[in-house]
Amino acid sequence: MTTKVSNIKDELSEILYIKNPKIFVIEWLPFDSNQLRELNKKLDIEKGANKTLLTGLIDQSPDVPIFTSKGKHTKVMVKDFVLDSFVNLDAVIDLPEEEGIVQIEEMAIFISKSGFVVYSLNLREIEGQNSFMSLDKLSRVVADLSQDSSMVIDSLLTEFQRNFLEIIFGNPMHRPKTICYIGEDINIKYADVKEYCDGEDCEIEISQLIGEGHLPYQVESNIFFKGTRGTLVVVDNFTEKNEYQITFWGIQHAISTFVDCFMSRIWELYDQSNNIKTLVEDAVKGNTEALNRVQEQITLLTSTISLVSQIQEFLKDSTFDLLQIYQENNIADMNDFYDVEKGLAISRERVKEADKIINGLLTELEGIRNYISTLSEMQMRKMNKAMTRNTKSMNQVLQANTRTGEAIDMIELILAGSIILEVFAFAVGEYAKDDTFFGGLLNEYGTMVMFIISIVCWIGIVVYLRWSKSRMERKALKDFTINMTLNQTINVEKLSDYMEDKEILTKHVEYDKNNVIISYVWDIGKDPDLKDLDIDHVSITYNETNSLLLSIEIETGEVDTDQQKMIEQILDDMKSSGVLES
Amino acid sequence: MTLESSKGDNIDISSLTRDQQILLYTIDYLTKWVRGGDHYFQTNSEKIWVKELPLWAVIYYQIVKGTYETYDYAPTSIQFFGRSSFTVNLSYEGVDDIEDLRELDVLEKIRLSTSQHGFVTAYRITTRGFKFLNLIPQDVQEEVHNLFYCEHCKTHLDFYMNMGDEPDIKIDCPSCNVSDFTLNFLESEDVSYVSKPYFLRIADKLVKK
Repeated sequence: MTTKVSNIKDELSEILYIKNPKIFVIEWLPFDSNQLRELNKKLDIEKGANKTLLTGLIDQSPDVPIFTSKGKHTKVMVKDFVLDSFVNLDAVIDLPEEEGIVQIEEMAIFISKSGFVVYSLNLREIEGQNSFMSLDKLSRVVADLSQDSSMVIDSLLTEFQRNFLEIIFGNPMHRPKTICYIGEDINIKYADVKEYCDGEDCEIEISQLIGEGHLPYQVESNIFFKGTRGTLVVVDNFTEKNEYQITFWGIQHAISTFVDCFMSRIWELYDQSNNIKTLVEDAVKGNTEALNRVQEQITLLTSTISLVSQIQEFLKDSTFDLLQIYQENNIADMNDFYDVEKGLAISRERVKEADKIINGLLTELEGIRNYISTLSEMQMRKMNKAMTRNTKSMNQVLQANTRTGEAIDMIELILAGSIILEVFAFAVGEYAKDDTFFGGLLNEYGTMVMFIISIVCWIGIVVYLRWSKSRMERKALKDFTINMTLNQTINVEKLSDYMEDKEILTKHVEYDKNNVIISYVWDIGKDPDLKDLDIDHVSITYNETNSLLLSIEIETGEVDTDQQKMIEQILDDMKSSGVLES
Repeated sequence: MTLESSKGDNIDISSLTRDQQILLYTIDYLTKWVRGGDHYFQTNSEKIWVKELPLWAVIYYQIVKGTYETYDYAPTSIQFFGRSSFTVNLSYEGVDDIEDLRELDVLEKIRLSTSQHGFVTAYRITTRGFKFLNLIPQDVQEEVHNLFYCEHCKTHLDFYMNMGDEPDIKIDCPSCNVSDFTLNFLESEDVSYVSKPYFLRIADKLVKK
């Protein structure tokens, strides 16, 4: 006997009482033969599990000989099973309650490979009431059972199933369940069941249990109410037919509730895909942070949709199986008040129709993913181009520095020479007698001739050095780059032949998912056909996969040259080699 | 003190129960005392709708405080955002009276979608309802007012709603922090009970042969 203890803060106005209530808590979970086999392994079913304690904990330290648990366990015993079909368990729940609250909670758990789970129990006593029990108190027992059944089954589920529940419900402990109440008698008896729907106390108490807007039904003295959250039944003789009808209605209702939650999740995913589109717009405007976030979110969303698709497959199989089972058994009664077949058929149709949305979402995400890849490639290519240009410019600056340094060195030498020349001139200013031809000249004109020769040589050397220095500097600093985007079809084989004759300086190959982009840079100075052009280097970029010449770039030291003409000459050369189509 | 109903007949204010009068005045009070996130705002209550869930929470708070004569509450599972299911202490007498007030054209109801693809119901007092409000006895008005002031420091109580993954609805005193004020709207109460397993007799008919 339990004591009359509760923590209810209000004086309850209890109107309706039912006798010896049975309670069925029903829910749909993603089960199939494989999941059921995993469960059987966990239960050690083939060895005949006897009151095994089960926990949802996972052994995270396989190398450690002991582990600690928090003391929330379920004691289960296998009552009955058919391998790969169902298992019937007897579970004793031992969870800590508030001081003074005594709960001796034992229930049967029926788990089917079709996905539904039925937690069923006979309520023996609520706070000293052990025959007729008030609906007000029953609602409190059921609130407790709903939570405890989630905890019990959690220790029996695989991580795979827990993931599914998390995807659909967020926190899997808070998931809706269908409740069926079955009593043998009721304290207030009306001749017509509709009298319970009085809009006042009786109706309010029934609504508390099974939800508002419930439908009544009557077969002689047996009464049935069907609501949005469950069903309340008062039958003096609870036949197997009644049990079948009520349980199957509960299963159908539980699937329908799960499908509601499933569809809500799909609509949420649809909203998330719209958020991604907004991010894509930002990425197009050049926001690289948005580009990174889009890629992350697409990956996350695709993985969630993939899990949702798997759940959909479980639902499809389950609704198909259940409809078949129900039709084969053909045990409908009560003028089909519970309308199980129709309910199952509707759920099956809804699950099938979810295909359209899921496929649409996946296609849309694939499209966004491709678009984002192209966007990333474009950005990479731009960066690559900018880096190549920077490297080239740096090389040119380096070369210019070297050449300028060399020129200064030479000038210093010549200046030194000219000083020597001057010294020499001063030195030969002394008179000397010589009988040779030059000596004669010297004898005749003397120092004057030597001075003139020195001056002429000096001027000649200085002029030559100034000219070569200026040429070197011009070559070093005044390189111009001309770039033209072409997008013309080429013969790739002919291009390979064409490049064989060239003195290639660099070759750059870029691979992506669908394309191979190749760039060549060659020195034109040694090109027999083009060496007359005032061009230093030529660079071409082409798409080998699409046989498309993307761009051509030339470097020249002459700013006044006709640049268009230069490019045309190179293109003509390529045409004559069969690289470009005429 | 009478009012014409929408059907043209007269309603005597005393034909409404005291609980209905409290409920109506509470709805009016709620439209003037709202806290959304960290912001209070007061505005013309004719334009404000009161959402169903906070209204239920306040009714529960009033029941615990003993305001209503006939209301009680029961733990009821309701779905938030179309997915997660939470147990709330809901008064079906209160729900029933809300419907009665609607039938009298004193309250009107609106349904709106949420960003999480669920639906929210909200209520507001009609023009006719505002005329009715003035007829509510002073002692009822004062009783409702007094409920929203801390018994100890007389500060106006805070109403707080968090509808995240772990929802929480609280009414508490911001200055004296007395735990007594915390609202347990989302906590179901425990009762002592004994249950025994019931094994389905038709188990073999629930699976594929």
